[in-house]
Amino acid sequence: MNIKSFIFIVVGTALLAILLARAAAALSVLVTTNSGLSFGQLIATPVPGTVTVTPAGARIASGGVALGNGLGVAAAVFTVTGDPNASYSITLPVAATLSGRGSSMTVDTFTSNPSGSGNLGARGTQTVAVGATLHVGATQRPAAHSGTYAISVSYN
Amino acid sequence: MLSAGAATAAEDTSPVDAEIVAAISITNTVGLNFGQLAPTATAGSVTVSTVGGRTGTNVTLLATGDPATAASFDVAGEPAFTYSIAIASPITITSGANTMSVGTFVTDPTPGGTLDGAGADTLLVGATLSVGANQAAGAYTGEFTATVVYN
Repeated sequence: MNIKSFIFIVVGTALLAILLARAAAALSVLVTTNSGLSFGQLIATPVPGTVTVTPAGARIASGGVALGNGLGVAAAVFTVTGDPNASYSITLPVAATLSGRGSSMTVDTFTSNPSGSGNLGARGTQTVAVGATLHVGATQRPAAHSGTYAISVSYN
Repeated sequence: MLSAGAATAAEDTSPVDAEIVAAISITNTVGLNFGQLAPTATAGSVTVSTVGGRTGTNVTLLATGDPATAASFDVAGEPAFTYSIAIASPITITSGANTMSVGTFVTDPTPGGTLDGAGADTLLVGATLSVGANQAAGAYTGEFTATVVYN
């Protein structure tokens, strides 16, 4: 009587907990671009150099490349959505190529904030900022250069 | 309940861009020349304008010797870009142990310039030479530096 009811309640509760742990994602994880990565205006010199844009949007030059005006300099911004409180991993590309008017440059050392993995929190969404490093060759040809890269996310 | 259709991974392709522009350069083609002049017992000055016109105070401007010329520079870089101009002033010209000061530099264009459709511009520079009372005779020479930077 009482004992039987008690056992039923305990077993019922344990079974419910197991079902919750095994449930698959209710919402698909999605990642979309809010705005792209831009290194802005750069002045090529006879000495090669690099330009880094950090996830915070700061632009730093090294070597022979000089910074031109800073209009439009920005880290990329993505929105990740999915299950509330889900943790997910972020995969950045190894490298990308920018090209224009027959000239090309390599972008690598992608970095993000959050880095490696994130959490969608109670609202099931999180913003990810991405920066990278651009390699400017000696006397790189003056031109507008553009390219694309892919970012991926997956539930942990 | 299990949701078989929910994706656990996703990808997005995103743009990245950079603009490379040519460095700005400046090359001197004509020097600043005050020509030949004779001092007086009173300190004075000689001014050469950006078009090479010469005027003097308390000095005698002579028709002999080199004609007075404004300095001229070729500026090159990205078409239609604007640039600023800076000249360190004054500078000293010397003849042996004797010196004179050159300052009050004026430029055309001023205070900055715009490169044309071919990415070129010509920068003209004039200045004022301070001549001492009974300034010692001699050929005085020196240098000034004009610096241009993209705005």
